[in-house]
Amino acid sequence: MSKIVLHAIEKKIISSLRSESEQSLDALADSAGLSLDQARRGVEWLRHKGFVSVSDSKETFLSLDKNGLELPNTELPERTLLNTLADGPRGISALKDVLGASLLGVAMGIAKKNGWVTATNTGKNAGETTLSLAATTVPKLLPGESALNAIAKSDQKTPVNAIHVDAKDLQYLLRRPRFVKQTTVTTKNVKIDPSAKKLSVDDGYKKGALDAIDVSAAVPNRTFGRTHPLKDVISEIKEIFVTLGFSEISGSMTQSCFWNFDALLTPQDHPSREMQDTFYLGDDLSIDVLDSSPKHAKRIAKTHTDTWHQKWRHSEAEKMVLRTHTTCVTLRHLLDASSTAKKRPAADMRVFSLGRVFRNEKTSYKHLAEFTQVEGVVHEKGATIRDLMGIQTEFYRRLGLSKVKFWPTFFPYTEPSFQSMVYNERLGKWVELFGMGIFHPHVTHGLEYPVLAWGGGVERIAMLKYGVDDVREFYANNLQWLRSARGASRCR
Amino acid sequence: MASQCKGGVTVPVVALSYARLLHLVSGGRRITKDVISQRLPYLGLDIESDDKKDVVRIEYSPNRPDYATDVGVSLALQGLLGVKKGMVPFSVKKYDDQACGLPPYRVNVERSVSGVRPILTGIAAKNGVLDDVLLRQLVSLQEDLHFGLGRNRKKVAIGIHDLAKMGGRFPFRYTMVPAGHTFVPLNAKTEMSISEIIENTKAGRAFGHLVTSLKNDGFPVILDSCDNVVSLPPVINSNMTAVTTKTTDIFIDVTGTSQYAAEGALAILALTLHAAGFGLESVCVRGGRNRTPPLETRIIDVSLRQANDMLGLNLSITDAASCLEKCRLGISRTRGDVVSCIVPPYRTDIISQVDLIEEIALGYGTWRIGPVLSHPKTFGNNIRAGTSSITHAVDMAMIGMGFVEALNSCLTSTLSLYEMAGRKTPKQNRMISTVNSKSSEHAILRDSLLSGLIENISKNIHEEYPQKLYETGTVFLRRGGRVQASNDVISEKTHLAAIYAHTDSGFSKAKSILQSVLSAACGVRNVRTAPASHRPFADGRCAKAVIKTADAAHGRGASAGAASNAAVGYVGEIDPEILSSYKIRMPASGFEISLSDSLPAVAK
Repeated sequence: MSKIVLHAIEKKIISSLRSESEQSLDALADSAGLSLDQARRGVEWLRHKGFVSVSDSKETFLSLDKNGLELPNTELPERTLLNTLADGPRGISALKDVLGASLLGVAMGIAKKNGWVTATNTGKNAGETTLSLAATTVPKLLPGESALNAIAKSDQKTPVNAIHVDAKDLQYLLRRPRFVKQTTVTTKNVKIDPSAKKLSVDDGYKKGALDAIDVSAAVPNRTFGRTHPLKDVISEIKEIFVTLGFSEISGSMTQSCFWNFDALLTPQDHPSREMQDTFYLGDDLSIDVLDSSPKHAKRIAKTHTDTWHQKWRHSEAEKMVLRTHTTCVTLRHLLDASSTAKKRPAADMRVFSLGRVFRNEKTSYKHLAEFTQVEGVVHEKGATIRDLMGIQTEFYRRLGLSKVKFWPTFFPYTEPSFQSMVYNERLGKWVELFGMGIFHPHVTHGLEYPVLAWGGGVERIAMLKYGVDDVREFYANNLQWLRSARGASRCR
Repeated sequence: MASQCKGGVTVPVVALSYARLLHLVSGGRRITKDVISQRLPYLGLDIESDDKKDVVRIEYSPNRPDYATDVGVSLALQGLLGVKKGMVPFSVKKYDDQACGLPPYRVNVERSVSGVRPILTGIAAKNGVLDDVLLRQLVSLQEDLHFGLGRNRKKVAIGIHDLAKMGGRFPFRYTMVPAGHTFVPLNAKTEMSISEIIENTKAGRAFGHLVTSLKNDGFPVILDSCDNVVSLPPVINSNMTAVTTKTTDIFIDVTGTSQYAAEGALAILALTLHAAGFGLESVCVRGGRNRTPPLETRIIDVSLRQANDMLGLNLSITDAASCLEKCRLGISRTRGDVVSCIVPPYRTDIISQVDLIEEIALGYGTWRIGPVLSHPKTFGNNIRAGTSSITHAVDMAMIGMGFVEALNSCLTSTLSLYEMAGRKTPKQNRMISTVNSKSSEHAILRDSLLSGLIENISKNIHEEYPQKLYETGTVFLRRGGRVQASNDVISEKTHLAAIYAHTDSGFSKAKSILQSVLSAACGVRNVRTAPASHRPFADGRCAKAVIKTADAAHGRGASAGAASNAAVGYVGEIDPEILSSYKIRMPASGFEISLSDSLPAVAK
């Protein structure tokens, strides 16, 4: 049998009940030296454990009501009448002075009915009724009198327990209008169970050891600080990239069209460059492309003319946009690293960039105008499409996504291009995740090796991780969700 | 990169009938619907929906407009399934100028159109059956070409006519006529002037600007030899030459601003009509830079070694040639390492060798290219660029103090960033605004984080208090003064902001949190606060936070150790008026500091 652990409060209650086995809650709180609230809690715990039983008892208390308090001498009016008449017969008007008209009426009615008084209408004061005691014996205690006396005797502040009053007498008294009132009070009586007699109620502190407490008791939840769930997914993704040999790079969210589009061979009249798809910033923010990237600008201008059979305009390239992908950052890094490399061939590179990207779209449960994208690139001798598929498969595997397949697709700056399809158990279907491909040789002009590139939206992975169906949740900052969201260790 | 094309741009969709596809593909072979639906994605065609009966809707890439019809899709399926391989035989009857007699279909392009819409090309397709299905697909192909390749008819517009109704009134003239010139436009009953058509018809209002916005000395039209209007490109055709399901002979004109794009579009139309059983005849075009469309194949070489290197495969030269043939390309010859590939004119997407390497992968079957995981040759590192090592320490300190991290968008509204935060909205040229945003929520780039956090608190008034939120994120500022052209004109800084809403919130609380995070995350132990006035804080309850920082200018010399003061941000109690306009009933305090400027120097 496991050791029974009692709270200090419980021990005090049991000690007290051992000296008096049944007590009202109030009395118990008093005798155990606890507040009423502590006593109430302690009794509740002990009752659950079966060490005490609690019974309710109802008690009725009596006190004078409004009319009762106004009675002369706090006695029945008929008693006042009889006492007055004991000194000799009295006329009505004299009696009125003693009792008042309405009480006299009541008193006379009762006294006459019981034959205690007689009324005459003769004598020197003919015309006025005179009352005198009748010959019959008046009882020593009138009906209701013992009850009233008992109630009146108390100091009015402490109500009288009905059990001390003659019940029949009380019933009579209660029929009198607002002489006395009764109040019913429910009292909890706590009785010790025999099983509690053996419990140890030693005060542990005396021996210098900690008092054991009830470790199974329920406690409230605490709120706590945490990083954002999406940020946690971002950290996890970054960690996977690093373990696969990638290093992080970063770049600006505001980019020239040159780096966001032209360097990636997007034709200058391509629909994705239109204002309804891309966030352009004001013309006053344009930058001089020839000045900032002279070498690249000349080459790109020629490539565009050759590939798309149309003139390339500086003015288009100079406009500033909010980047529509992170590819502009990785590409610029590759080109810069290659042109500043001290030895040839340049070292192998595996880098990734992760950050916000922008699309001029109305937001919906599946689209955001601003979201997070991650992109990795591999610049290594002999790297192939199969390696790219391998890295992706491994990336997904580490996220808990084991069913992956690849479909061909089209991106303007990779050739060949594929999209990865991942099976989602919760939705029961294949969902499209990251895109991938080998950068077009025109894009990576000057680099030694083909560049594998792959990437996509981080929120899509976070949705699988947190079982979220509305992508806007990640930026709603709803505290209830932030405080409770729990990501699965594997994507769902 | 995944959605550069998918997310950003509307992807064209075509609805196909399995029954028709099976009929077109099978060529007598037993092929099931399942086989087709399994293979479609491996052509780069995503199944958007499948009604499980007969209709499948597929998304195709805008660089393959030939997939806009079941004819184009079935040719590709035949290749992938091995039913038919190699280039689709594609012949056009040509009329040699040198031979006696004039070619029957001639168009002279006059000099007057050169500044407006200079390019015209065309083809005649005869003795076919334009049934209901084909007519519908042809119109849908026309729309797709207009939208994608044609850049909404600006670059390319296509007119489809009933050749029989032209009554041999050749040669045509492509010329300019005044706005008052009249004809009966397609689906109208009476003659209208061009200006009426531009102003009063749906097509006129949608596309009229493409010709009126150019030179206002008339409109380009195609006239027959009797000066009847055949077409008003790129707006509308004449009703005279309307095609119906009784049409057997078709005339197509393609006009635009790019010969390359116009000839590409023409080739795709020609292929579709040829595959549907029409006989193609050349249209002779003269004038300006125009020419009779060559509709010629091109030969592009691909190196087997480079293909194998890129794909990680070990194909023989015969294998590679066979893969290309499965993509309905022709093989001119194979020699040594080189496959010389014949590319039909409708494959405008194939430009260089890498495009053919992609075709080899497609023909090989993407599902057969298995992943390979090799060991990386580089060590990854997570020493994060810029300020992010500090932001990690900030995260740890803030969550240690019980704060929940918030993430807000960089794009916001002037209402949230300025007005609701009690800040004066700056002049347009001091903010960084987006042009043509679809929503006022994405109108400007934030220059502060705290406004967003106040708004977040306002959306959580029913949640348990205390509420503690923080955010580290990018804010955007215009660079002051004269900007060097080569410099970035916008500076992106990392800020940290926090807000604490609770009955016991107040200035001291906010300052104490600021002081603690600076100490724990950045090693700063000498924050001073001086009175300041700065929204959204209440006057009298606001301070500028100043830290001592090693002065870089003096750091190296004799006066090493000299320090200067740097303002890093503001701390205070949020103005109760701001809270009440947000219906926040709890007092709130907070701070916002820049992590970019002074702190990295200090942290070192």
